Amino acid sequence: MKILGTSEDINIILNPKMDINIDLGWEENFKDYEEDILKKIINPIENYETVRFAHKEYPMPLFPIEKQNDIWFYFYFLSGDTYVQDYQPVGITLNENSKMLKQSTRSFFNIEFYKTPNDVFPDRINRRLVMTRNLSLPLGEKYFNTTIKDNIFIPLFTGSNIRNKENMYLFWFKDDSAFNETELTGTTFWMTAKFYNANDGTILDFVKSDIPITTKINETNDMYYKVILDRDNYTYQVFEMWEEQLDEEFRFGRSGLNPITFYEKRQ
Amino acid sequence: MNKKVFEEDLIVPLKLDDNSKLLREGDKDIVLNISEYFDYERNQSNNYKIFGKIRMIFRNLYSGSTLYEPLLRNLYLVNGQTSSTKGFLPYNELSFVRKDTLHESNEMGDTPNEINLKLKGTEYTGHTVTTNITAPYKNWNLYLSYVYSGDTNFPMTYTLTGDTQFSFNSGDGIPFRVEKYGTKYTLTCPVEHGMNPGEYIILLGDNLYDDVNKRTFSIISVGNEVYNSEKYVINISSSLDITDKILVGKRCLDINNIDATTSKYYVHKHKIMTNVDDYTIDNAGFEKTIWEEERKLNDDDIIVERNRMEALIYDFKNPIVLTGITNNLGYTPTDIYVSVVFKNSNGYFNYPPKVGYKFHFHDSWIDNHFDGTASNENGVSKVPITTNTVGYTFTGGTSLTIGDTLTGAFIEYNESELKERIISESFHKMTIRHDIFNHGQIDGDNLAGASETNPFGLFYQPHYRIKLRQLSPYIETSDTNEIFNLPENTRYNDLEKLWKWHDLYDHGYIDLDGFGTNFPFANNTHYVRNDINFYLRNEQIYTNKKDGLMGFNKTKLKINC
Repeated sequence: MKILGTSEDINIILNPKMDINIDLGWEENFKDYEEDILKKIINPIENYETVRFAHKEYPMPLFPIEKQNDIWFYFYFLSGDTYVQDYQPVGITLNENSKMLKQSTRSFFNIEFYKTPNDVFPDRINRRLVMTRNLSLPLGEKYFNTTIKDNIFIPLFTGSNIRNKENMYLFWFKDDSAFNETELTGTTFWMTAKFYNANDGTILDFVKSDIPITTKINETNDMYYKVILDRDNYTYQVFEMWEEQLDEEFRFGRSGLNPITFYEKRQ
Repeated sequence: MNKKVFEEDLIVPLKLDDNSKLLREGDKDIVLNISEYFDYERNQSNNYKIFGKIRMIFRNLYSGSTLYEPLLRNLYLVNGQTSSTKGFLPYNELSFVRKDTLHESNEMGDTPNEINLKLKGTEYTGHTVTTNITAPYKNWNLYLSYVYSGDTNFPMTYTLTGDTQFSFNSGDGIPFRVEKYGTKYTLTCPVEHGMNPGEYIILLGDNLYDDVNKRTFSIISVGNEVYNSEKYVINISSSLDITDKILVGKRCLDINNIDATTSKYYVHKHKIMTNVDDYTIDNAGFEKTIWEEERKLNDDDIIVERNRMEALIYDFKNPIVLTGITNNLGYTPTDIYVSVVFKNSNGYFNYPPKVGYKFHFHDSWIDNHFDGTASNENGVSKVPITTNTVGYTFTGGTSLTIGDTLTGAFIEYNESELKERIISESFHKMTIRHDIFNHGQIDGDNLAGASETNPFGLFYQPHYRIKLRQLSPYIETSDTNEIFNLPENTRYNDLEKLWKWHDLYDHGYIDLDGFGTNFPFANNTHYVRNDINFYLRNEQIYTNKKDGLMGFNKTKLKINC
C-alpha cells in the first residue's frame, strides 16, 4: 500500500483479522453425535446381572408374632379317581421310595416359569419358557411309614432361607435393560408344573385344583399361578391369576391353608 | 508544509492473514476400538458391587458356669459331666448364621392327605426367639463404610506389666517404653514406629518440658541386636534426665520447621454407607474351615455345638456409587470398608464393645485402656432386650443406619509424603457378662489386671479395607498457576511452594510393583470380590499378642494362634 507524503494528518483504518468459522460447533456436535450413537445404538449399557429373589415373608401361622419366608408346594397324584399325596400311583413303590432306587432319585417335578408379551394370560402359543426349577423326589418331606417301617418321601416340598434353599430362591435379571425392544419386560411370570417320571418315562401335567372329570380344563385359567417379583425388596409372591386376587390374603405358598397346590391333570 | 514530512511516498506493508477451513462434506469414518472403548467405559464407571467370602476362624475355649436357666439348657457341657452347670457357651451365640431357629414343619396325620403343621426348633427358650429370617442378622451385622474424618482426641492408655501406665490422646503420637543407658535412651515401640535415622522424634511424657523444642530429639539410630528391631526401636541421646517409663512420640522430619513436617496422628472415623437389610449372607456351599466341629447331645437331648466351622458368602445387594462423598483427606475415597459389628441380640455380652489397638493386647495382663467406659464404641446404640425370664435385664445393640459413625484404624499422616500409614487396625473387644456366664473373666489370677470393670473376653477386627482405586506410590509435583487442571487429591506444600499429589491409576493398569486395580467389569459395574478371614480371638488364651520386637519373630514360642 502506498501513502503519499502530505502535510495533512493521515488516518489508516485497518480492519481486524476476521475468521468466519462456518463450521463452528461442528466438531463438538459430531462428538456428541458419536457419543450418542455409541451409547444408544452400537454399545448401549445393558445389565445382564441376575439377582436372587426370596419368597416374601409372612406371619408364621403357629407363631404369628414372628415372620418366615418358607414356601410350600403340595403335589397330588391320581389314584383311581381320588387324589393322594403319594408316589405309588405313578409306579414308585414304597420300597423303591425308601431305598432311594434310581426311579425315585431321578424322578422330579419341574416348576416352569413362563413370560408372555405384555403379561397377557398365557397359552401354548404366546408363552415363552424363561426358567425352571427342579424339585427332585429326595428334596421333599419325609415321614415314617408304619407299613414298611421306614422313612419315605412324599410329594410335599418346602424351602426357606435356611433349609432347602433351592426350593425357595428365584434368580432373575436386576432390571429390564437386557430386554429392551422386546415385549418380555416386566416382573410377572406364569408358573406351572410337570412331573418327569423316571420309572416309566412319562411326563405329567398338573392343574391348580381338583377339577372334576366332568369339567373341561381351560389351560389358561387352570394351569398357571401368577408370580410377581418385587425388584425393590428382591422378593416374590405367588397369586391366582386374576387382578382382584392380587392381595396379601390371597397369596399362595404360605404354610397352613395356602400352599401352592398342583393336581395331576386328568387325561 | 511541515519540514519533517518527506516528500516521498511511504509504503506500509500489511499482512492479511487468512484462516479458513473447508466445510466437511460427505461421510466421516470413525474406527471404534473395542478395547479402548471398554477401558473408557470402565474408567468412567463409579459403580462397585461388593461381595466375597467370610470365614469364621475361632475356637471356643472359655469354659465356665451359668445359673441362667435358658443358657444352661443349651450349654455345651464339659466332658464327662452331666447335670452340671459347667460348660462352653453354645456356638450359636457367636455364629454368623444361628441354627437354633423356630420354624414350622409338617407331621402326617391319621387320615390320608392329612398334614399337620407343628413348630420345631427352639420352641420356647425362655430367652429370645430366633427365626429363619432373623438368624443371619442376630449376632453380627455387615455394613459398608468409608473414612470421612480423623479423631485426634480418642483417649488411649498404654499399660505395662506391674500396672505402669500412661494415658494420652490419639493425636499425641505412639507409645514407647523407655530404657536409659547413661545419656542414651532406647525407646521401644510396641508397633512399627515408621521413623528413620536423621529424623526427629517429639516426645510427650509426664516429666518432660511443655516447650516442644525442648522435647524434640534427633534419632541417632534405629534398632538393636534383635533381628527386625529397626522397625520398633529408636535410639536417642539427651542430657535430660528422663524418668518416664512410657512416653509417646511423634515423627518429625525437620527440626527447623516442626509444625509443617511433624506427622499427624489420629484414628479413622468411619461413616456407614448401607443399612442392615442391604446385604445377604449364606453358607458357602459345602466349604468348611480347617478345624473340627464339636457338638453333642446334652441332658435334654438337645444338640449343642461348641464349634462350627462357618464359611459364608456375603453380598451387598446394590452397587455402591462412589460419587458425592469425600474422605478425611478431602477427595473421593479410594478405599471403602466392610465393617463387621457384633450386635449382641441375646444380651449375654457387655455392650457396647470396646475399641482398642494392637498394643492394647498383652499375653499376661489386661491393659487399663479397657477399664471403664472410656474406650467404648459409642457409635453403636444400646437397646433393652425383651426376654421371657424374670429377674434379669439384658442389653443388646440396634442395627446401624446410613450416616452412623464408628472408630477405625490408628493412623500416622505426614503432609510432605501425602501418605497415611496404618499404625494399627482397630479391634473390638467384647466380654461376657459374668453374672450370666462366669469363666473367670473378672479374676486377676486368670489374667493380671482382670476386674469387674475390666474383664477379659474376645476380640476381633471390625473394619476390612477394600481398595477400589489405586493411587501411585510416587508423588507428582507442579508449580503451575492453572489449578483447575490439578487432580482433586492435590495439596499445596507451603514449604516447597509446590502442588503435590499422587496420580490416580486407571482401572486395568498394574505397575511394575504390582500396584493397581483390575476388577471384572460388566453391566457398567466393577465386581469387587473381597474375602475375609474373620479371626475371633480369646484374649486370655491367645498368646501371640506380644508386640513386634518381642514376639512376632519368635515363631517357635507361638501357641494358640
